[in-house]
Amino acid sequence: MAAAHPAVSDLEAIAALFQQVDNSLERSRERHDAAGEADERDGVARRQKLNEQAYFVLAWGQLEADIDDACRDAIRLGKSHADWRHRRAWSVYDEGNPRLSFRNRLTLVLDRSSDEWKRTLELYEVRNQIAHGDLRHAGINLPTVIEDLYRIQSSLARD
Amino acid sequence: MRRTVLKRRLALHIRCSGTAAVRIMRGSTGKAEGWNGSMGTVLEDVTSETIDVAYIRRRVDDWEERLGALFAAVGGWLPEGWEARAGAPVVMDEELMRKFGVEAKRMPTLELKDRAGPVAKLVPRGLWIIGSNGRVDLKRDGRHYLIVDMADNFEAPDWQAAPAEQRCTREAVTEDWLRRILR
Repeated sequence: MAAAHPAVSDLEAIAALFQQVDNSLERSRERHDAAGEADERDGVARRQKLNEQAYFVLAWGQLEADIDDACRDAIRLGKSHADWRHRRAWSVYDEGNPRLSFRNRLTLVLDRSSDEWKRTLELYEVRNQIAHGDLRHAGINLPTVIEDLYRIQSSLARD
Repeated sequence: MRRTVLKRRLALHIRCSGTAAVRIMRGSTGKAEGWNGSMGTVLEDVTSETIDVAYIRRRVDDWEERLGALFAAVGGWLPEGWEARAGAPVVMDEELMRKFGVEAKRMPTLELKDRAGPVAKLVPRGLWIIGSNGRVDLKRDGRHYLIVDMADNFEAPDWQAAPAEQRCTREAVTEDWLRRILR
């Protein structure tokens, strides 16, 4: 298994920056709450949710870049196999431009029957809903989601 | 009544770094832990197309029950001279509840006080939070702790807490943890 992609190592920096911004918003929320300013407090809570979503998409992008890299590596390796019977299926793909859906790229580098595969697609669904302007029904606990991203990243097959 | 035993992880301190995540995944047996998925997660709730009103109601009732059990456990762990009392309830009216027409519900809060008066407050912050199965905030003298349930839906709670300034460092919610933060 290859070492962590440099992009994934940025996840800790993303988690730290998120925490800094959210704590600042939380202090503002608390001030409004203590002053009995419910509308202002709820406004800050909405900004906190938006901030969670923004950082989620940013963190997701690190994993997606890593999945793409692993996918290219898998295709390159498969195409270089000495045995044509092994190589022929991989020859269909162009590692420089795989033209594959995210689901299929993921399936090339993660076992489709694994919990990690399922979890990744669920996170991808959340990413899509945020990116397409459908504000989520849920908050996001970014530190634990980032743990998930690390787990997925460490499970990617590159050979 | 849900059992009040709080799951204690073998590794008490959990950090959201790459190596720690792998350790959590492999566990002490080397077998993958977590994401067993039989009971589902918040992530599955928010990406599912099959949940219904009855399911949402059951989740809300379960959340209330877990909060009650957590607050009862915290009340039982207080040092000498401290006491716990119910605080003003907060209204739970999350988006998934509104989407399915589930009525808002009042949820309990807990105040902890020593001889000088109230010094800490536990307030439920939300149930549907991706990456956890609900969050409770504990605030004391300007310090803020995030308590999250890391168990799957409808499983025995696995409450873990982290200071807001170090959210990647979680530890199990235990009597020892509570007493340390109340010092």
